[in-house]
Amino acid sequence: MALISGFGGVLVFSGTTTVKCRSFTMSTERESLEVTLIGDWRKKYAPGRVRISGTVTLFRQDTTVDATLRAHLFPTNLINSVNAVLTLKFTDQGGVVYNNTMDGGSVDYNVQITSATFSDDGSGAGTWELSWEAQ
Amino acid sequence: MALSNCMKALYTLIASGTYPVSVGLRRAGDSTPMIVYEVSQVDIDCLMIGGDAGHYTISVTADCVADTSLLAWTVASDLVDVFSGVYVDNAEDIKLVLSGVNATARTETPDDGQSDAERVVSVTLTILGKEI
Repeated sequence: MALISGFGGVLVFSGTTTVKCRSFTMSTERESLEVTLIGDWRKKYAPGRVRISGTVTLFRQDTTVDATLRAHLFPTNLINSVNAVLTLKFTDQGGVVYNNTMDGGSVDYNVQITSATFSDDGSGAGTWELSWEAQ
Repeated sequence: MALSNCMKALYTLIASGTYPVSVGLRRAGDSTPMIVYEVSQVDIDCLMIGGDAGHYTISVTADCVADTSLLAWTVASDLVDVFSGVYVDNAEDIKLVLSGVNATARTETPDDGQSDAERVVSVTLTILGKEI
């Protein structure tokens, strides 16, 4: 049984497989809903809904990837702003695909960028530090 | 190939100054003033998927050798001046930019029993390079 390494994963970013990605993280959180009845002798909980979010560090590029990202981050009108959506799919080194499996489907996550940072401090490669959340 | 292209572009840029340039060594009898540089370290940014991302942080130590202290500093100044702005090498598809400099001075005497002492300004350059 082989371990799955923490490197070498492949990110598909809004349909682009050649995105220059430096790192990727993904986390899931599930609400815990209390469903205790008055006759129960202990508290009881049921699984609630899942929130999927993460971070991604991309090298800044003069390609359509950055153009897509900038269009998402800096919409030119309100409709573009409220409908802002990117897509993500991650395949780890073990070949396991992380995407939206709900409703019987297997499609890329629709995501929004919740924070984005880059800096030009003259000290190295330009990167985007992005936080994302599945819609 | 991009890394070697980066090194070619670096040599071209350093050699574009006023003074003769050598990489790594200075042979007996070479005239002064001259620049002898060595790439002491290259840090290569890598992609998550693995491999060279095409961005390099290059540390270069350049000895600017001359007969007088003032001329050694002039050579060092000339060396730094060639890095003005962003250098674009379209033949090698590389861009270079200087992001840090420091310098120290010393006196050296060639161990040949006949040459005079020389002044050396040792300039350490931090250079960022990227594929175009």
